[in-house]
Amino acid sequence: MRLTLAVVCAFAFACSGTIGDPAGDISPSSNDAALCNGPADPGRVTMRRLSRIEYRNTLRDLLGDDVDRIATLPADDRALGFDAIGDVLSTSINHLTAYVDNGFDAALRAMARDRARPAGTAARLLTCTPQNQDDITCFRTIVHGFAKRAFRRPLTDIEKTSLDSALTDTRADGDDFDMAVQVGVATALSSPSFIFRVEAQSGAAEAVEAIGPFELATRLSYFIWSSTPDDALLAAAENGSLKTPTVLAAEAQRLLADPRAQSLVDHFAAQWLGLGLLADAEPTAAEFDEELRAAMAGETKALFKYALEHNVPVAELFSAAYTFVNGRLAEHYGLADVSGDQFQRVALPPGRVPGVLGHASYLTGTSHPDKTSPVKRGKFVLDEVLCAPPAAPPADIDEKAGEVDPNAPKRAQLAQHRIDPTCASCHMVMDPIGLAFEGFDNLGKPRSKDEKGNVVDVVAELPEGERYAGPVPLAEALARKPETVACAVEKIATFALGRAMKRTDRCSLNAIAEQTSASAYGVTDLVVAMATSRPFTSRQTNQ
Amino acid sequence: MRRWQLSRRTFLRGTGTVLALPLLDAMIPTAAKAQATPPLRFLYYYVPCGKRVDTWSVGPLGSLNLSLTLQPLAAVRSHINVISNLWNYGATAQADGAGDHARGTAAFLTCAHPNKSDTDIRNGVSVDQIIAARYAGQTQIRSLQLGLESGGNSGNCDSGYGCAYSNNVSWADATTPLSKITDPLAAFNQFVLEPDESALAAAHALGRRQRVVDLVRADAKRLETRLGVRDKQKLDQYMTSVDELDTRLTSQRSDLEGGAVCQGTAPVAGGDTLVRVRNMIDVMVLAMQCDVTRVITYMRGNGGSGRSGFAPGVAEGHHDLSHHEGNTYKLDQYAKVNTWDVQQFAYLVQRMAETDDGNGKLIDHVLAFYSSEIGDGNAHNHDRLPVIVAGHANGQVTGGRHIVAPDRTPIANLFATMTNMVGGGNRFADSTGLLSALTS
Repeated sequence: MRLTLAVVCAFAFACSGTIGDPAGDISPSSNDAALCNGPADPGRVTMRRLSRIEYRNTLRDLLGDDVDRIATLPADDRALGFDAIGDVLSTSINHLTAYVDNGFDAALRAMARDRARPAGTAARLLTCTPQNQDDITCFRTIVHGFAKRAFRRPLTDIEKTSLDSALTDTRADGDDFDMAVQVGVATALSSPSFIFRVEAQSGAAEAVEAIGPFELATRLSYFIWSSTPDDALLAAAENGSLKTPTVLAAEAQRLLADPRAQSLVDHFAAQWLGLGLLADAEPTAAEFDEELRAAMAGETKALFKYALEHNVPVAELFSAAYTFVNGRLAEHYGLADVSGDQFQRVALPPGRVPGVLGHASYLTGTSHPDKTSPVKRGKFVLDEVLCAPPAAPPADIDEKAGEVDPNAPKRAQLAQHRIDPTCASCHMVMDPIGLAFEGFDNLGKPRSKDEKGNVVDVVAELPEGERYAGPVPLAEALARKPETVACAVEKIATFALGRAMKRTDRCSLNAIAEQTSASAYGVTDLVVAMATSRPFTSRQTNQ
Repeated sequence: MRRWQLSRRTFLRGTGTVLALPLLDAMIPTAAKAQATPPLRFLYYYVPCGKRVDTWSVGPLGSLNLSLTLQPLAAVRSHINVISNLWNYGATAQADGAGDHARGTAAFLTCAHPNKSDTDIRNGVSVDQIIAARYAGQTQIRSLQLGLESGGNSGNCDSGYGCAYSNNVSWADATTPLSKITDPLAAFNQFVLEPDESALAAAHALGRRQRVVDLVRADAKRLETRLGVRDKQKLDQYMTSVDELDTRLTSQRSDLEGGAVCQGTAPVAGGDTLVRVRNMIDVMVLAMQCDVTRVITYMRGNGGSGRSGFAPGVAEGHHDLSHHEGNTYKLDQYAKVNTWDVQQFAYLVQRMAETDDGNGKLIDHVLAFYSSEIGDGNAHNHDRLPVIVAGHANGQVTGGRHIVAPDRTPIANLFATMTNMVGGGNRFADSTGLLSALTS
């Protein structure tokens, strides 16, 4: 399979409202080939504030902080499916108050843990013992050392002097050395150099500049770990080796092999593959409970984790003839021989849809509380599998809607979407895709009749003449589409860079995919190719 | 305000619901002590997903006959007015198609027409911030943003509008939404001292925080010169927050050192929606009673919230029910959610009516605005918004009335009436005049 630049998605084409979205998405255009003649425009990332999850993970990795402080912070406004988009992450006094308070508290707890640690283990914060309450040398060891790790770069002299004043000023206030350490740590943890992933202007005259080594280390660790760089990564930045592509790739591989890479599963894949929708879903069925919700999420996470660990071709996320279930989910699916909380790999039972589109997480997350929604299921495929989001419905939607018999089969109910051409352009794509999954109820269990007792009809007929007998061949066809791979690359890039992809990014995204063609676009290879790509390692200077 | 012992709080939790202790003179912050004109507080109370029209609608102009949905307000009828026919033009589609929940929520207090984009967030200044600017420096907390929903888990909030529009009603400027605190305990911690806490120790702890603020302000200034244009905008939000926190800490220290302490017992963390709503309302009342802030926004849910399971007997999602399509069952369930929301607001009004703020009852010195981003939940429109106004605004507003404005009167006229009360001008956004019926 080879990706081509100007492919026009057969599905999305009918939904013509999305092409050329003024917001600057990457919908293909016939001019793209010309764009890629010269060096690709790497784009420019707006300075990103740490998201709540990144903040929590970072405190965990800096100090061994064992308190989940997410509830102390306002929620992050999401965009483009993710909570780490620089343009929309705002900062208010409610953030700053929490940063300062958490800083004092995290320092206090870290000191207590350090003092109670087993002999022979390294301290996380108290890297020396003060000889007296005014021991500036020891204070510097502790606080400069901590601030360097918090800022993810060496401190400037002026920053050191500034932090030193925390000791003298705190002592002048009548407080002790420990309190001065708290003030120093709270300062570091409230500083813009910590809160933001700063990428300072170099002042270079060129239109494009390389990302600095520490900034690159930071990009890498927040991409793969959603957390701060470790000492080894900072050392590679400090000794200059990180800018070498082979070292950068090796570091990406090293980070991927670390348990912290689980954040790509919990954070990236969960947001991409609809686990947010699942988290917000509120099915009314009595059998649905939080254990089942967690089991549903666990299946999708387990598949992605497996793909990440085995460099599985990314399209296999939508075509895997195997899945992962624990006891609760096996019971839900009616599978025998699986019990306990651990997820086990099992062959797909007959009739189940391969890949994520067969997961209860998708089928439940895109349903109403008491019934399925073919429209939401179809929209998910366009949004997340093909990156061809339908245009928003028109505003006068209620006037366009005709009378519907609520007891009629959904296929007949949805036919009214085709009456008005402004609705039809998208619904004639979304609805048939969604209807193909009607053989699964709003919790993802197989069924032969819908909520109203109508026999389900799962044939999918798409406007361009494609016809699928049911959800299994439909999912397999989706997985074969080059757009599905291109979309996965776009999702990875959006998450890694924290910005919207533009048409000018198409060349870089294609280059990333091309680089991984040997493994048929293996998930691991894609992550490494992303980390070494032009938009990840360089940027425009002029914004 | 046991902020320097946050962990202890995290583990021990509080002792009960928020309970304002009997107000002694010494406990009232200086600003609130008997003043010739008591300070006028403004509260903006947002509920998602509009109203069921027929059960909300109030009879003809004049004396207020409470409709079915508004029955919970019977006991506080003399303190409220229902206003009909207000319209938010900024929230309407114009040429932007669907997305009424996000657009209506963004326009809720700005009356602006937000830019339709996932990432290019542009709205207007909200009325609460115009008023907060008039009160700047007079209270510890410039304005308080509260809510109940911590933000949905899925990314695309509403038909091409970024989640910033659905999650925030308070906007400092066109590109700066002011995010909200959704944990009652975190809100409580901002300004309340528990009975066993020493005011002087608390003031001292706030002093240490000011050391931090001074140091990070210097960090930010050094950084500023090394950033690009858009990065600077992000840093500006940070700098504004630093300055605001500095002002707050100075004011809080001064009150604590002067013995003016706002006291209460901490709310239990967690709890079901009703407990959290009541705790949040108690925190709001306490903040106004102690006059630590005069401007509060509160979002019962985020724009177009689909939450379920909070109103008794309603298992279905709120947003889904609001699109009832005339279905009798859904209409009834939708009305139950509307009634539940009005009940909670009635609890707030009741609390304000009982609470002594040092100058009499709080309800006399408040203007509390209750509404939604949508008029008719089923039609997704932004006219005939459900609007209740509670409080007497220092004698300027008589209660117990149904005020019927001409159809499609800009809701900005009501907001202009509010800004006018604090000398903040008699125009707001697309206002065409004052809503003089409110104050006549």
